[in-house]
Amino acid sequence: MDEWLNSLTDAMGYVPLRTSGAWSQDWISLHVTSDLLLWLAFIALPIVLIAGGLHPFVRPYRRYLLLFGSLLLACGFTHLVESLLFESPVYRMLGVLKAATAVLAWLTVFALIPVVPRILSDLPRKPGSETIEVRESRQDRILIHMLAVLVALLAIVIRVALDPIFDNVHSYSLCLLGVTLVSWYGGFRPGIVCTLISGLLATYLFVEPRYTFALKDTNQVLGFGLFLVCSVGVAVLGEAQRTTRNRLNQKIVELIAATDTIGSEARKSDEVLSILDAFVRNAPYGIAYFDSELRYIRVNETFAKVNGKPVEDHIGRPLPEVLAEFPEALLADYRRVLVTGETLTNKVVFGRGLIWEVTAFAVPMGHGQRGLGVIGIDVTERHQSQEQLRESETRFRQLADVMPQIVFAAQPDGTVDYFNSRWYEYTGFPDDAPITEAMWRTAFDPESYPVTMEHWRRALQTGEAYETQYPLRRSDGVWRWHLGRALPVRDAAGIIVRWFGTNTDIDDAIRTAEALRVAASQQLQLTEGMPMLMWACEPNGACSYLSRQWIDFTGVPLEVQLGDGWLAVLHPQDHAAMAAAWRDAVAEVYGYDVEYRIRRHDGAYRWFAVRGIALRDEAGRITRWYGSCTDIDDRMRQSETLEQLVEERTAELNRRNDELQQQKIFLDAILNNVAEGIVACDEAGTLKLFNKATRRMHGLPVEQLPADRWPEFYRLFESDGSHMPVEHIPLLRALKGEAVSDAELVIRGEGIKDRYVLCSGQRLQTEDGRHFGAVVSMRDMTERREYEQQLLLTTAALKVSNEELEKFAYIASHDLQEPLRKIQAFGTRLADKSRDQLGDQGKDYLDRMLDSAGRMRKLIEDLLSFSRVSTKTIPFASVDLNAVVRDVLSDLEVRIQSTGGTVEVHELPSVPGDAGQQRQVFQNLIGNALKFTKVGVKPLVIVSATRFETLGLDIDPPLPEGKSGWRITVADNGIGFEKDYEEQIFELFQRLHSRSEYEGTGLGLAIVRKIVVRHAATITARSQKGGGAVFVIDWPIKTV
Amino acid sequence: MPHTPKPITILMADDDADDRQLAREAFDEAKLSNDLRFVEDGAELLEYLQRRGKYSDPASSPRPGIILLDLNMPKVDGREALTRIKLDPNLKCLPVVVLTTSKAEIDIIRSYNLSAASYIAKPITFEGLVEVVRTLGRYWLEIVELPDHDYVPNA
Repeated sequence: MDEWLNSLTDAMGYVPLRTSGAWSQDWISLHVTSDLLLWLAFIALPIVLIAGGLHPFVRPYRRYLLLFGSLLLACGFTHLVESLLFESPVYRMLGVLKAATAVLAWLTVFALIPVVPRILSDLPRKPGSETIEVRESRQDRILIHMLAVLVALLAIVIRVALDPIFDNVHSYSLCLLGVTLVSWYGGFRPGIVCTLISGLLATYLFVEPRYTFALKDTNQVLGFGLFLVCSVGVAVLGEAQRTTRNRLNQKIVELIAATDTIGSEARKSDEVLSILDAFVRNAPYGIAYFDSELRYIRVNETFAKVNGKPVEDHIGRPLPEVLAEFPEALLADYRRVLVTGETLTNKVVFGRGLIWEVTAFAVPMGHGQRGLGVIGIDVTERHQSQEQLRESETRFRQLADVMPQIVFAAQPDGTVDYFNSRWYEYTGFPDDAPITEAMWRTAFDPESYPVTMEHWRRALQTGEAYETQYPLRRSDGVWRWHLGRALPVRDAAGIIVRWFGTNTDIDDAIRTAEALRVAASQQLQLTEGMPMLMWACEPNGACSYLSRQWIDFTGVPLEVQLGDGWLAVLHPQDHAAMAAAWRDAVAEVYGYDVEYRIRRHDGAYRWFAVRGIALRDEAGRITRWYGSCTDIDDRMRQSETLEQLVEERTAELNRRNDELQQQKIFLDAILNNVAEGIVACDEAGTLKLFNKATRRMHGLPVEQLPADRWPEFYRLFESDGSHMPVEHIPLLRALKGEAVSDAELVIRGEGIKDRYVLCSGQRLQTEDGRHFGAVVSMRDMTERREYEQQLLLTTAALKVSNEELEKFAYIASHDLQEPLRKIQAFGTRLADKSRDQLGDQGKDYLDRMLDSAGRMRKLIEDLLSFSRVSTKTIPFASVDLNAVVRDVLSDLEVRIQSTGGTVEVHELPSVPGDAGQQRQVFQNLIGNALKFTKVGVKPLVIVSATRFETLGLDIDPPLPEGKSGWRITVADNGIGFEKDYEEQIFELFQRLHSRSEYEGTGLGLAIVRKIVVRHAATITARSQKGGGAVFVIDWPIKTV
Repeated sequence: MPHTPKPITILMADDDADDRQLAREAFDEAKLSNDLRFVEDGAELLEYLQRRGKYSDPASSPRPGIILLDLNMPKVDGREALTRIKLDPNLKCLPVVVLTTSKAEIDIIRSYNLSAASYIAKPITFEGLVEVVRTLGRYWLEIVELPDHDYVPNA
């Protein structure tokens, strides 16, 4: 074998093609390149074929493809080897390869022949191209024409090749052959084209003379003509053939198609039949087919099984024979169907413990015959399950009515066909109304209804449980949220047969949940909003919540601080202690109430007061820790300052205390050393304070007594000795708000004399008007009262004596004057009557007597006047001194004229006083001034008045101190008197001159002074001997 | 009845004899020619006026046209007498001139209160007295109309 193989590659004396002959490099390249390309193409093609052959449709024809592919490969390798020839003359290999290729080629030919039509027919047809068109396309026509030309050319070429053999004959033979060929396949026109081209060329090339179109002789012409005729004829024939062929092809194609169709239909009907058979055989229903005599034509296994006999036993036998116990009624029905042709449906047949639903129908069999088809379904189970379903439905409805929820049931398509009684109660719909969507829809909220229905539809479609919430309207119009749930019920086959659903009233739950949510969110807002840092921990001490304030304050993220992480933000010094405190708190050893420093985000530490509260469940176990941290940093820092302040304050307080103590001692001393008795009570009327004086007065201490017992206990009486009613007690009056002033009270003494007191007091109140009791001071007036009483007695006695005196004075003067008058009267009579008889001496004696009597009279008058000054009790009135002086002057008119004097009166004021007495004053003063005149000098008297204020401080006589008033002066230019007598002259009976010089009683100025003094004024005299006199009355007047 | 001037009796009551004497002399000096009668005290005065006792006889005791009354008298003093006189319907209309030594204001007021016609304080001097009497005469006897005691109003 090896040897043979080797011999293949043996050069065998051949030379590479390259070296032989006139092979130019170009031609060698062409050959080599083409061969190599061919080789590659012939490798590619099989690959393409195999790739396409992987298409499932082509699967049946794979072996043909493989075959063809191998052929192509072989061809390719042939070409390869041919290209190698230029280098290495391996002709033997080439030869072998070619031979192999040839074999493969013919194998392929023979294999493909039967298959190709089938392949072609199996090719998927384009849609719409049911009719097979064998119409040649335009492209084909052009191709044929080109082929015609090629064939013509080929014929010429072959003839040229065969020219040495033929020489000048048979010029057109090959052309005719070519034309025939072309006409056969292309028809008339291509034939003519070929004819023309080949004919012309042949003529040109082969007919003598060559290379011309000339036809020399008749033979040539005949030959050419014959060729032409034959060619045309052939063309025509060819055309005819082509057309026929085309039509034939068409028909064949159609026939093939039809055959195919029939074949496929036959196959299909075969298939259908087989399917039908399979169907009938395997159907879970019983199918039987009877002829008009009720003989089994066909029966499937189901029926056969039920009947208990094999299928073959049925065929051809009448039904009653096969099934002896077949119900007569049903047989009758069957026969009726056969006769009438009607269809009997859903007939329920009971037999052998099974329930069958039977449908019988007539089957026209042609020739007016009818067969009977029967389909029977074993509905035993279905029946049973339906029974069960009904039963369960009933049970369900019973249950449903008991349930507090609304229960509904719906068909698999979603149609609700049942509501429990609760529904009707809730919605108020009448429970006998048919259930329609329109009806129960009204209980739904129109806004949410579409969404709800969408959920429902989806649930129906997917068969998944349905759960959604929606509001339902109650019979009174109130909307309440309900949770609608529905679950499907499937039968044994898994098909949904029923939907059961509930509507649970979750309104309260929802509202509660809402409220809880709101509350929770509010609570969260609260905790988040509080300025304190809030935290919550689990029972084990791990921190589970920190408020936003905490996070913001520390600047550390929440995640880091959860659990134990929060300890890290504490001050290192506080760390250990606080961790321990927290542990203790968690272990329920102590509560959690601590202070520690927390680091702020900027690194500063601030003190916080932390409080934790444990939330416990019913069993008392801690479920959660809640706490808050309040910033007390300022407070802490302030505490030191505060302590300092406290110390200072304490010291100050102590100091104040001491001061107050001192004050108290001082006040106590005051209280106890005043002469007045001080009594105080509080707002309730309880005696609070007796000072020492009070105790002395009463002889009793402070007692807690009700007020109505005070008169009795403290022996209080009215000033006249009568019993003192409680309301009169000055302290109580003061307590009621009365401002008591000088209320008289007698404290009867036991063993000591009664004390007469004047009480003054009032309510005690603070600056802002708060009342806290009353105080009364008691002035012991006992002594003074005694004095007063004494005084009264004295005054009374005085008064009496005064009156007696006045009376005495009056009577005395009156009675004294009586005899004087007589003396004067009779003396005068005597002087008149017996003047002549008396003689001079007698008359002289008589005159002296009368004169004395007159003097005595005057004296008595003056005395009377003097005594009357103080006893007159006319009240003071405002007296105009000008008027008084005018009166006086008119009285003294005579004296003024007789002395030739002048009295100058300046503006005088009005002063309070007794007019009559003032007249006396001025009468005396002016009278004196007119009396004590210088001899030979006309008397001048000046009466004037000046106010104290206008006089200087150094005036003489000096002004009375501290008073305001008038200084009235009576000045004269008379004889005056010695300075020594300035005081004396006002004494009683004082005279500075003898009676013979100036008359007068010596009482005048005494009377004047008495009157002036009575008027609370003063009188002074200033004079010099021989230099006139000034009498100054200083009249103080109370400033208004 | 036509008024016929009759000499009017002047009755003076004064307990002091000297004063009575002086009075008579003053009347003489004053040249009053009226019938001047004297009683010594209030009781007598009333007796006289009421025509009792020794004064029962109207001829010897003519009804006075004017009374000069001293206040200070024993038994019944002038004030009492004045009161009684003014209480007596018969005597009420008699003008009474108080002539007394007292200058006391109270006496003056009381006298006027008791319906005395005038009050004169006895002058000190005799001449004074004479002047007073003269003036009295002129006033009471010439100027003034005295009531007619005999006049009886038509009932």
